[in-house]
Amino acid sequence: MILTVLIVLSLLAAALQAALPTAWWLGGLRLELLPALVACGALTLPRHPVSALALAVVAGLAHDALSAAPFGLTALAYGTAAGAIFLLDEILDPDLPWVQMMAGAVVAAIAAVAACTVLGFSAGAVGKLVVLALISAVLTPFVYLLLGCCRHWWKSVDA
Amino acid sequence: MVFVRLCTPFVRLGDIIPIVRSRRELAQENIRLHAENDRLQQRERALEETLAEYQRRHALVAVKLHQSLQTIGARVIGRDASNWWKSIQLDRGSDDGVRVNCPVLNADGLVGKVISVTRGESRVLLLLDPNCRVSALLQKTRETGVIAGMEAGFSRAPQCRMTFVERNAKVAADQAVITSGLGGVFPKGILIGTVTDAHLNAQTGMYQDVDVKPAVDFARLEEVVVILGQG
Repeated sequence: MILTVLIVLSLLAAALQAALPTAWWLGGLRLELLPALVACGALTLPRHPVSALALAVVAGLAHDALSAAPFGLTALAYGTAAGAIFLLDEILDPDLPWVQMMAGAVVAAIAAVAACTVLGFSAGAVGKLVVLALISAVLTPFVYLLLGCCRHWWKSVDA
Repeated sequence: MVFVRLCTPFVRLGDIIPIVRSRRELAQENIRLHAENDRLQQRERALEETLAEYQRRHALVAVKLHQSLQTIGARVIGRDASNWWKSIQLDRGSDDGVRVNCPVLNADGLVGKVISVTRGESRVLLLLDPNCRVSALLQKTRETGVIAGMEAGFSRAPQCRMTFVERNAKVAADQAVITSGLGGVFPKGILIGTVTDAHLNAQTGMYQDVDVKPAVDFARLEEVVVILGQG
């Protein structure tokens, strides 16, 4: 159930990302919601690595479909990031906010590095990478909290 | 009535005495000039409006010049979901004759080229994207080069860079950069932007790199023209 919700949310987030204007208070960048969702998926689905991977790939493909990025590049990056978080699951406590922040930052950073490998690295690109990772780190705990609330609400309704 | 009668002799006196007459004429002329000034100011405002309209339409000459080209108007219905690639989505697709590599412009100049098409929509790679390369020409000196988008730093206006410009070429600031027509994708003569800076290539020193400010305001793209081909 949670996987379905996450996949629907990732499609909506991709559409929202494409519709959002760039924000001057983010240095002219666009708010990216997908890395936070992918990180939350990887943290909340530790016993279902295939599901976490499926979510990452679907989110990446949705992102690539609404972008000029080479199709599959972001899916590959998100999938790699989700796999890395899954591998570290034994030593990470997903309920700790700093873990969530790190996970969000890692997903955004890996996606940014993948983009830079195609477009080339520069000082501006590295700065953008850092800012995007920071934004994702800030967003992830909020998304994680929201998903937790949804899950509790669903359980209470189900009971 | 009484006042007019009382004044009449003085008015007639003014007709006889030149100084009084000239003062009265001056007052009348002042009124006439004020009226003319108002009329001219209104006319100036109307002319300014006409000029502004002319200037807006003048930019469309880039499209109109190519009378033989078949074009179609399109609305921008989406932007790129990523912070790394620069593209927009249009409401015209293959059903309207849009194909991959069709050039896209607006009234200000070159916007980019179509990179993917569905039946009802298409995606345009903007000139700002480093992957969008356009064969360009410095309008005055006729030096050729290749333009591509540059990764803009924070709070910096988006820019393009023209590479492979001959080492000894004279490149003046504010010079217009247009498409060269080489390569067969973009028609010749479409405005790309203006030169802001030029310097030798840092890596090889064999060519000049010319920074170009795009003519199009990519943040405010609403309507564009897609060139479908020869009419």
